[in-house]
Amino acid sequence: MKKSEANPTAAKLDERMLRAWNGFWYTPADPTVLGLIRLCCGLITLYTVMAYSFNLEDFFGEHAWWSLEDARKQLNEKPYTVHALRGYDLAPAPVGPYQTEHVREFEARFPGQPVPWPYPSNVQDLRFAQDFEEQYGVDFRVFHLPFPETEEQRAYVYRYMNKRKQPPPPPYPRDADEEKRIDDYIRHYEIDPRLVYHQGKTIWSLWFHITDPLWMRVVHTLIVMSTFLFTIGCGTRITAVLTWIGNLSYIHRAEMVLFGVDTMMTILLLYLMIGPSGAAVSVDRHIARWWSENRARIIGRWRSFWRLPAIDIANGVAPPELPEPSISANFAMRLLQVHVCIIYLAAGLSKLLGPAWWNGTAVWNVIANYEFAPMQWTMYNEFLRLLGRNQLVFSTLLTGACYFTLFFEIGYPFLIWRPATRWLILGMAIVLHALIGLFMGLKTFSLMMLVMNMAFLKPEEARWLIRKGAGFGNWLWPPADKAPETTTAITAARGT
Amino acid sequence: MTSGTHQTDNAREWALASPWLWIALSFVLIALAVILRLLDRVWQVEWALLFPGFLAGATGVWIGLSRRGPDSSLEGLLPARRALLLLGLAMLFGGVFLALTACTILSIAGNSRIPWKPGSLVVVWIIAAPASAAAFRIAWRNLSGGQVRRAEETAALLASAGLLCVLACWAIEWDTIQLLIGSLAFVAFVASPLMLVTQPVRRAIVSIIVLIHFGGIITAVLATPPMPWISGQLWTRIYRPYLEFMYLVNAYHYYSPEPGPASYLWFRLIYLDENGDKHGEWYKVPEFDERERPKTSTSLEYNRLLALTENISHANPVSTSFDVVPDGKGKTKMVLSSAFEQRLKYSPSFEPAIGKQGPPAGSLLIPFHPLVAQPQQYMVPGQPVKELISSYAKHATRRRHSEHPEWQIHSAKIYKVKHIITQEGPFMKGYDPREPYFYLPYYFGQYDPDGKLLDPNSPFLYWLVPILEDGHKRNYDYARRHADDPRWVRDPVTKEWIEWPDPN
Repeated sequence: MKKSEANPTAAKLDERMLRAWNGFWYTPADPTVLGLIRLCCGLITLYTVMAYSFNLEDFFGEHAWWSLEDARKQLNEKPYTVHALRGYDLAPAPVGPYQTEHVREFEARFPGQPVPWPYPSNVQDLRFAQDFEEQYGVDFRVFHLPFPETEEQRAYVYRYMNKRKQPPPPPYPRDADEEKRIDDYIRHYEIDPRLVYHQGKTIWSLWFHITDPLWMRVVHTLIVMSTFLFTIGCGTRITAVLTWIGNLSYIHRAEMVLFGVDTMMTILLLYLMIGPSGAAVSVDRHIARWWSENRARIIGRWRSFWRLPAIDIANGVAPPELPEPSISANFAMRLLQVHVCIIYLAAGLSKLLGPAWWNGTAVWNVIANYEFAPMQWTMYNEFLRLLGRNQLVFSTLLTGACYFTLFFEIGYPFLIWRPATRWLILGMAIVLHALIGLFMGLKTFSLMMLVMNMAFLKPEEARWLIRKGAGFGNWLWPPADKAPETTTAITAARGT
Repeated sequence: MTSGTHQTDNAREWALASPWLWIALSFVLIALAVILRLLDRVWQVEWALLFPGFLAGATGVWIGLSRRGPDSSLEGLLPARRALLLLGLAMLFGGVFLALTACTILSIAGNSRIPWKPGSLVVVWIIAAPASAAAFRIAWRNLSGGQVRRAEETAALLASAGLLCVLACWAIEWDTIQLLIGSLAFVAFVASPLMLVTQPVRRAIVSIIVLIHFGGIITAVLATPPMPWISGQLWTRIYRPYLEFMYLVNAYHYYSPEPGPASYLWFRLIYLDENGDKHGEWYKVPEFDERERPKTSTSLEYNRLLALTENISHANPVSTSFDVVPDGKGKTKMVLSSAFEQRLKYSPSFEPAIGKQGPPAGSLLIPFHPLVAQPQQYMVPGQPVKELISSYAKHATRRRHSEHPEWQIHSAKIYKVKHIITQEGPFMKGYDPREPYFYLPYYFGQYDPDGKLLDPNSPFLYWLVPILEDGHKRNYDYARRHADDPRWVRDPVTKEWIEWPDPN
């Protein structure tokens, strides 16, 4: 019997889910929104990268705040630990009559206690274990170190215990050099390397290798140029990758100077690299148009330069008025949309851990934070004091702002997809991030979050925005991208 | 040529329209770079070839992927050459499948020769192996007859790009960039078989990649305390390399559990003049001008400096008052902790017990902060933070004296300063958030220019050295006092820091 015959509802559900999944990820979409996001993200990235010009050596040089020597040490040695997958250690079965007898005796003397292992193979082993426990009050097999076989190993167990106040983990060091390496590691990271699951970070950066100030300037200039080209959408498929590589090079080298804007920028650059972000609002489209009109002339000249036989060459077909919908554009947008939802949900839910978000005082800690809020302006302080004269108004405002933030962040992933509430949520995003920019001084971060929210714009809304901002650079994108267009069938299919 | 082009350019009309020309150019440039590397040239020369080589390869792939229609640029290729191309692809995909499967099995079996951990390898196998096996089957079946299809050409282009990246790894000495280029090769080798397989298979594999990707993002979100056991396992065993590589490690817990105060770093840089006399100078990060505006080139730089100081805010929880020690009779007893005992000894209120000695005459005595709970007055940083502080010290001690750049640097005393947020009540009553007593300086040690801690036994190390106010609104900055700054008292009228005799 077929599955659908046995359970028609289940089969239908499978089919529906599959269709929904396919529709969500693999429906072609207009790349205009992606193009707009690229332009905005590119501008912020360009500013961020250019701002590094003032502190290139302070942040990324050999003697930076996080010196190259220390950064490389971490790169190669940073310890990562993890609990055993089983969560507890399973003792092996005893081998031979001596071990069997030992286990039986131990269980009889200490009922309910786990038998320490490896088990002794002879009387000498047993005596060593007993002597050790008598002296230090702890069994030397805490980490299941095998019984020492040589005098040197025996001395090592005692030496380690005296130094570290705990028995050593296996295996025994092969020689004095290895023992010294272990000691150095422990001194540096406060953990025995033999207890570490993995050593070293999986990161990369040009600045781990380029330290000469002149060459740093040269490479930095190349990264700025590539970011500029990416921003205007020139050779976008290549410059997107170069911009991502350049940006992550800064990030991986100087993690301690990063904040929210860098995190968001990395996410956006990743998805803009995956999708055809140069397919709209870009110089690439200009070039495509120009090429379609001049193809015959250019190829003709090329052939005559190389003295190739003349042939009949036609001009190209002009690109369509509107950017062509593509699955990859939709795919990149969907990745961004889902990621934004995860970000807001995580930010909102984690705030529930703090009492200040419940009792409504968290926002005070933000607007009265001298380093971030504009408190150097007397007017701002006086305004706060003016508001504070009426406790009812003041407390309502502060508590309301807390709950507004919680409602927005936790509600975002549920309400942004619904056409009826999409603009409410986008409006709240504009308010929240404008306030963050104003009161917390995190202007680039706020702008970047607003750019991420653009993922939920419809193409015609993106075109409206482009039309509004078009006066600034008519040459930058062909008129078609900013022309008022009716919603296409593809746009409707996106359902956002 | 661009992503918007509708007319597919014909390589017979226009040689630059052939992706293979670019791939060949890339191969030549990268191969030359490999040869130069073998000849041990400087990196600038190698990169002068490598960078254009990469650009040429990327251009080739870009042209190949942006071609429209089902036609391939390899139309007219002899059947024997086409068969060779497909055989090459089949060998590559089969090889990738076998290599990945063998590595995964050996790694799970605990073979120490495999450099990758089993968790990550299983995920890599899921992403790459089934597609490679399916593509191997398709390439093998289509060995005979017909023209080169568009999908076959694209698969071959991506495979070539992957091979170029592998070749480029030989030309690069820089280990972390080898990692980057190796990863690009991996992406090309994963993408290549996807071009050959049927659309449902391709979508299934891409969907799995999407699920794995967001699984990683959610793991990063959940992998900060309090975290479930499973997310710790997933983070360390499976996702760590991917998330670190892509810098997707953020948990997005912004202002959680609550917004906290900002921190500063105050460096007292100590210089030696020609006579060997010591002179101190303050260097504060971030620094403000007389109009209380940050002395930075951009607001972004100011934010970065605040992030720099924020990174040393994490401290280990420690007991300030008592230690539990063995009593020598097989039991334990509680004694005054050595850190607290030392600190107590150097406070003005200390009175030594009978038979015990006080601090040496003339020692600096610093009171405890009367309003901060004692456990919060002692903040021992974790080992990673100690590393950072040492590195910051190395950087700060490279700074020249503002008026005497010829003076040699001797050392730097470091204070981590927490600027507590003025509570609503005091602020409304008119308290200025810049009042000195709102700053809590913790002494983080004296370091030499090599970043070595010079006073590990200082009684004030990691302790709060307070800024206090007396009944006359006079402020006593014990951080300045501790840093040997003679101007350590602030006049209540002029608001200037003035010299003041030692109260002890």
